[in-house]
Amino acid sequence: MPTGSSSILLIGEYDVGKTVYGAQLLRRLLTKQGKLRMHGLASNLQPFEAALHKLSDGLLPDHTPTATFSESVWPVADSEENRAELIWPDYGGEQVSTMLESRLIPSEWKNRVFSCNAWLVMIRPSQVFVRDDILTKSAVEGASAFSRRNADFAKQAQLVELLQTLIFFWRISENRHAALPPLAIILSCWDELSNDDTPQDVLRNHAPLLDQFLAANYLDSSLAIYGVSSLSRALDKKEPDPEFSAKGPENFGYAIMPNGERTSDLSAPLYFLMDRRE
Amino acid sequence: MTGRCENPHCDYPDVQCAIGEPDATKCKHLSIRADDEGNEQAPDRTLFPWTGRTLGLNDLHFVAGRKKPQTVGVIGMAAAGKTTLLGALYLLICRGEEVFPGHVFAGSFSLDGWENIASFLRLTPGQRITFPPHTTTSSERGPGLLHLRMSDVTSVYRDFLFTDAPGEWFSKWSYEAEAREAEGARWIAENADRFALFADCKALSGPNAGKVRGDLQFLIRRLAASLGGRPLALVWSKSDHALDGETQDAIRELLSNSVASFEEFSISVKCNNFDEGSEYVVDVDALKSLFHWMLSSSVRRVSVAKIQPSVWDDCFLAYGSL
Repeated sequence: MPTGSSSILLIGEYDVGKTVYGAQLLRRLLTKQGKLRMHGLASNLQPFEAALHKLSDGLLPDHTPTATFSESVWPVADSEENRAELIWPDYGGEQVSTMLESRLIPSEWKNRVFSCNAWLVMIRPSQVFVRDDILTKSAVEGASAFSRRNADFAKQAQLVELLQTLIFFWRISENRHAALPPLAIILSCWDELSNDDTPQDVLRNHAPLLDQFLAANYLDSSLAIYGVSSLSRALDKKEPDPEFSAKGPENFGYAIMPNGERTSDLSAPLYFLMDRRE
Repeated sequence: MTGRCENPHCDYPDVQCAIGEPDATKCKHLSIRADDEGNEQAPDRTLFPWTGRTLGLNDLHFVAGRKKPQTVGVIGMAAAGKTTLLGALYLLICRGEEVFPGHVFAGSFSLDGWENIASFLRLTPGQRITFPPHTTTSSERGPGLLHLRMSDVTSVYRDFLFTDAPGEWFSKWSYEAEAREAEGARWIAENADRFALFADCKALSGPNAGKVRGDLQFLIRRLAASLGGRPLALVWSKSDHALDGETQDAIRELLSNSVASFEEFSISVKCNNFDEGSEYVVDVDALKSLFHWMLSSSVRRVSVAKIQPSVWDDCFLAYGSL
């Protein structure tokens, strides 16, 4: 069982579902519905407040404003009083994108990378896929063969760049000779996928480059890939879902474990990281 | 923070300080320029040490810090398909294909460079797939270098650099070894660990076939003179264009007479034999064979002087130890 204290850094780009996951996780932590519970007071829950209200009404929360970037630190503990801090540095997700575009890492991010001993990365598989190219379509085929519009085609390369940047800055910190911090990948909005594959299979199909990168740089014991559907279904921003509202948000949402099993405990990825930390 | 580095081998502020100063403002080579208010700004952000774009010679120290990378010289005349081949390599890796048996993709410090090439070869809404534009001639001293890191099952990393250079450099070099415009071609000839020499089947069977063939022969002779036993592959590119046997035989014969050995590959990335049952419209196996060869180990042979029997009795003086 875990001992000591963990500091878990949550990383995710824009529109991967961090705020919704946070709101649903928060509700479970406060009501002790999973292996973990909130231990003490979080530093700042303001960004999640509106999301909690919206979900209670059966509505999809609005996107977190870009200006909202103050850090939120959640103290969590398991039944044996093993404790960890979950750090939400960037609710909106724009900071991560800006880092990659500007190729500048702010000092506060660098310090977070140095100080945290576990990383939780959220990826939305429906935004990441391998596009057809000259190897799979003839050069004269055009738009008619293409149906996946409005997507970022180089997303898996961006994710690799993000991870290798974090790894680089972590290695040049004082811990550079130690093994990499354990990493949990959350494949978010799992209900958008219509298959029975394991999270590992989904990652391999949607982002083979990233899948290989992880295999090359991480030991199996320090890496786990989860699927998470925070709401179990799609909600609308304007039309409330009466069933969702009546049953209560706490009865929706599930995680897919690395072996493909389904659980209602959304804190499963955090528990893995607490169990694997140095 | 603004400033300019006086070190000719440093590309700050595009990347981190070349001599490794964590705070570039403290680097002895940096001339600080005050901001508009006349205040020097404290650095609150750190630059990534790589740009993500195609690497230049100044970036080599960063990639080669762990171990000397294997450099693959991709050589050929303009529009022979060199850049397209590199794009195809990246596309296959992006699809999770095994381009180097027993190895997986472990990273790259030139992902933007790879993506830039691959973007031309991907299907885009409303557009037809095009081949990458001609690699432009520039005054650079060295070629653009695309970096690739592969790892085997035991997590042993191997770094590779692929040269992406304009064909005009090789045209100049083949006729005038010391031409100023051929400096980049000379760098490749001197530093690459193995070479893929392109023979453009379309050009060799086109209206200017005679000139193209002559240029290729000069290039073969020039390359052979500096090869020094390093592995060489003759790549028949655009092989969907039929080439008469005499031309092929003449080029093979010249190469056989010029170098100790070479491998041959025929590739095409244009749809010509689309098999409805196939996942790919091109012969991916042929591409993979070439990539496997390019990524195979190039151990340069070095000669070690034989130890001569010593007439001294003192073992330390004779052999350096007891």
